[in-house]
Amino acid sequence: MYRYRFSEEAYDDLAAALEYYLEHAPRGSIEHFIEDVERVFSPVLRHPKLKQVVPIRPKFRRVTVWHFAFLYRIDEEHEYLVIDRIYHERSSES
Amino acid sequence: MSSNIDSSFFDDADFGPGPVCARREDAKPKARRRKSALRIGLVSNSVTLTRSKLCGATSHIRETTSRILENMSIDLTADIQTLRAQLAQIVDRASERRLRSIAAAVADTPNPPIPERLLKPSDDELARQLDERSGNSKTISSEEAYARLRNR
Repeated sequence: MYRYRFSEEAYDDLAAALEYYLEHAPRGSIEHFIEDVERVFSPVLRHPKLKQVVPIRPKFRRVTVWHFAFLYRIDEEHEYLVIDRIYHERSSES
Repeated sequence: MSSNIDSSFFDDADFGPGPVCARREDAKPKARRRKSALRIGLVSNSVTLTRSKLCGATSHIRETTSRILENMSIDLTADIQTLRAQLAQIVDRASERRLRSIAAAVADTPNPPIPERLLKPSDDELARQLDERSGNSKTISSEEAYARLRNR
């Protein structure tokens, strides 16, 4: 089964997202944050049409965890997803 | 099972027996009446509902309801259709007021500032970042990322 990884820069996004989550999410704890991410990615990783989901642009796809957009690509060679960018969805509305 | 019943609500001292609950001449002795009292078990305590307490509470509710209806200028002598229409208007007005106050509260709540790193960049900038990041082969497994977060 595929697994998922973070690019180094995306890890920094993740850390910033966690800080924001701890301050503003109703269940603000590290474990809840990780649970939220896992809950979103588990079905993505198991999806039978994993490689056929319509991408938002070539190579990249998006899922939402709490208010954060996670952009990821599929590394078919290594059989894992790589999350390359995380941003707050509300910031795209302003 | 938990309950929200406040045992003090049934305290005789608060209400006392209402006018419709005057003790009957042939009332049984107190000790004997206690046996037939309804006992409700709660999680943290229990309360005994006696006839006089229930009547006191009922009387209190009746008086309060009358007072509220009076304040709302509801004509209790009107026919049922008129009463129903009056009540519907009151409920509509109350709901509207409530919705308006919720909307105002939401509008007054400023959105927390989003850290610069988490702001969505322009489409061009996002494309550039994605190209750059996907070109970098160094990645961190989710397990390692979470371990790092926990150790921060």
